[in-house]
Amino acid sequence: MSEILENKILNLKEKLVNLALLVRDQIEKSFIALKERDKNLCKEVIEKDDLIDETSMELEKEVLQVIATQDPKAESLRVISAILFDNIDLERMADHCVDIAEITMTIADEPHLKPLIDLPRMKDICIKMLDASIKSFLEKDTELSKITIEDDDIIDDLNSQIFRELLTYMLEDPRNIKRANALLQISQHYERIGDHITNLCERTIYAFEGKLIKTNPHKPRY
Amino acid sequence: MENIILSIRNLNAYFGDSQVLKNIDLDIFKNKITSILGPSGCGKTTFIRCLNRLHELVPKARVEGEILLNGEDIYKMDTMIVRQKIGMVFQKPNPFPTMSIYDNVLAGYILTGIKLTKEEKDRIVEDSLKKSGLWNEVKDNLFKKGVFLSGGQQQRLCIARALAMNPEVLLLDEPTSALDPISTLKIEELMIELKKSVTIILVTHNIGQAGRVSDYTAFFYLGELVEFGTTTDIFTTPKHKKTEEYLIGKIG
Amino acid sequence: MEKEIRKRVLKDRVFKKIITLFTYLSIIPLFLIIYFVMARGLKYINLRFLTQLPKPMGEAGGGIFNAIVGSFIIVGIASLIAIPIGVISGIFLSEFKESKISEFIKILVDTLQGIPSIVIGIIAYLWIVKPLKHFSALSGSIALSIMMLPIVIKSTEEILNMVPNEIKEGAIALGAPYYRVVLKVLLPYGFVGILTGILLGISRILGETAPLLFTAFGNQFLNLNIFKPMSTIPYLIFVYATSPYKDWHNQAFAASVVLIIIVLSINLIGRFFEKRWKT
Repeated sequence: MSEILENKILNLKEKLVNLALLVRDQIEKSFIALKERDKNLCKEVIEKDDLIDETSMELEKEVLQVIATQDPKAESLRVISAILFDNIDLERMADHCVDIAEITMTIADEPHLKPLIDLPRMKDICIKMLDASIKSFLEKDTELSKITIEDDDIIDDLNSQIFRELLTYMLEDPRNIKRANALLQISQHYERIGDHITNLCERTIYAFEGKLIKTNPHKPRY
Repeated sequence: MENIILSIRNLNAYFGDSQVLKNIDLDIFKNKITSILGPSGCGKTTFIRCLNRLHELVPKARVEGEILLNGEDIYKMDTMIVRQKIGMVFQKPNPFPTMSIYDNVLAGYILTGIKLTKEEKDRIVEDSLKKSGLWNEVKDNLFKKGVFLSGGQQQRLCIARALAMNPEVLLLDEPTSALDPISTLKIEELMIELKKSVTIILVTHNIGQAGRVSDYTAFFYLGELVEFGTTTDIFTTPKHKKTEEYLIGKIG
Repeated sequence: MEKEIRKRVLKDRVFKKIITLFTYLSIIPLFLIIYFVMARGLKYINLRFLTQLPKPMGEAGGGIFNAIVGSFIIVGIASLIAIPIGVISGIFLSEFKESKISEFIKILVDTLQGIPSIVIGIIAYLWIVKPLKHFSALSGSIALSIMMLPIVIKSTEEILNMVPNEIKEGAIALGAPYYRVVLKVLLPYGFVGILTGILLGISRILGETAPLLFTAFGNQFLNLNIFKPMSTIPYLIFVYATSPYKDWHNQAFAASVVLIIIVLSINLIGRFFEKRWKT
């Protein structure tokens, strides 16, 4: 590969990592806002999304420019294409964080329905998966991607578990429904975040092994 | 804001009665690579030959308009000075066959009668050959004739020769069209390195090359400057239909 | 079909044989001349012959030293006149092809080449010998230089026309003033060709006799003064061969051999330089 192209790809990778770090930060912050019932932090997360949208659009534009001017082929093309689509997944993940913040705003004035046990675990696994997926992309480590994809099953299981648990709260007392419902939705957002990260991993495998893998995004709930 | 090193204002060029360039207005930015693109006969070669005043040497050739180098009109300057500040590398590598590699690099000084001490000569030869990436390949054979090198090496020798004069602008007229792909790649990487010290104007009919190396692109068609902008803008969002048609291969 | 092919192959072979035959035919006269002259004259060449002056008319013996020296001086001066003018004109014709002057000069050169050598001798006589009131080596040189000029001009022009345009442009693009492009690039590039043209011219005028009849005339004695008559080898051959003395006839043949050897050597030197420069 020519040095020119190599440098351009390195530059794009850097920008992708920056975006991923912004999203990671949103995931952490939106959870803290939920845990601490901090409406100000929620607002911060919601406003920060503008920056993420801007960064994402910039990255998209730059990827197109590299494709137009460098005419990449083979692995270079797959890597650049991976960056283009990862961009979209990261942006959607950020949107989910905004949704989590907005939902949190609606129940922040009330005390917690129950101590948060599974939700933090979901959040931690998301963070772990995100770190691993980016690492595997940068280090061309497809094995790490394959392992990380399996973590998504845990998130799916936790989601089902939370659903069953919150169902009992809702049946017990109608006054719980609002808060239970909110937590239910938040859980589903984490589940979607996990799916997006799975996409990142699948794309890494395609970029470096040329094999397209599509895993089943949802374990059936019924 | 980028620094403008060369300013072309209302440039019109003629061969006898036939007009080859029409009202060209263009700014060239310092330490950037500007590529001149366009189909055959669009006037791009005539354009750069106006920049080092080579065009006017053809019988019945005429030029109107202004070309300002750092604010000074090159048509009011001595041609020797213009050509020292604005160097040129040609499509077909043309090292002087009767001179050694050493003398070829110094040819600009020899041909303009500038005297140098032996130390100065040695230093200039080494610097220029290093800058053009040829030093390691020829340092043990400096006194052999230049024509024994391969095409790609000959072209790098010509680049060293132009660089030896410390030009501010380097005009490259399809410098790789006569070379094999590997030499082409080497020279493209060289251009990117060189732009740190010299402004480069590259005429090429190779769209890919323009995309790969240039910061700015000017698209010429039938003697007119149709569009000018950053290469990334021109390649992703050209504003004129003709530009787009050229880029996708519909014309030219 | 077979018959057609066989006929064609036969025709081809006959054709090739005819070409070869005619080539040999054209070389034969040259070999005959050299053989004839060498047979008659080689035996009379010795150190005495080459270093002594001629003996008075009728006496046997003597040498052609003055003629050898005279030839070198007269041809040398002729070259000194013809080379600068010829090379510069050749450069002019090559560089300014379109100008009307160039067309005019070209016609002049072609005409000059066609003028018989004796006519040139007569003209030199009228222009130089008569006003100066006596024969001189200088007038001979001038006549010979006029004959050498077209050869040098033409070969210089042709060689320079072969300089690739990009070499010239490369020099100009470095800022070279015109005269340096000529001196440092064009002339070195065409050096061998121009030199060959010069040598061709020299070997041509070495053997010219007719113009010298009216100009340098001849001289029994060794003369180094160019304003006086001087002997030359071809002139000596003419005089000796048409004389009644057998001894002089022999010397004429010997002088012919000397002349042939000199001309051949010059040609070989030219070839040698050509080969060496090309590598």
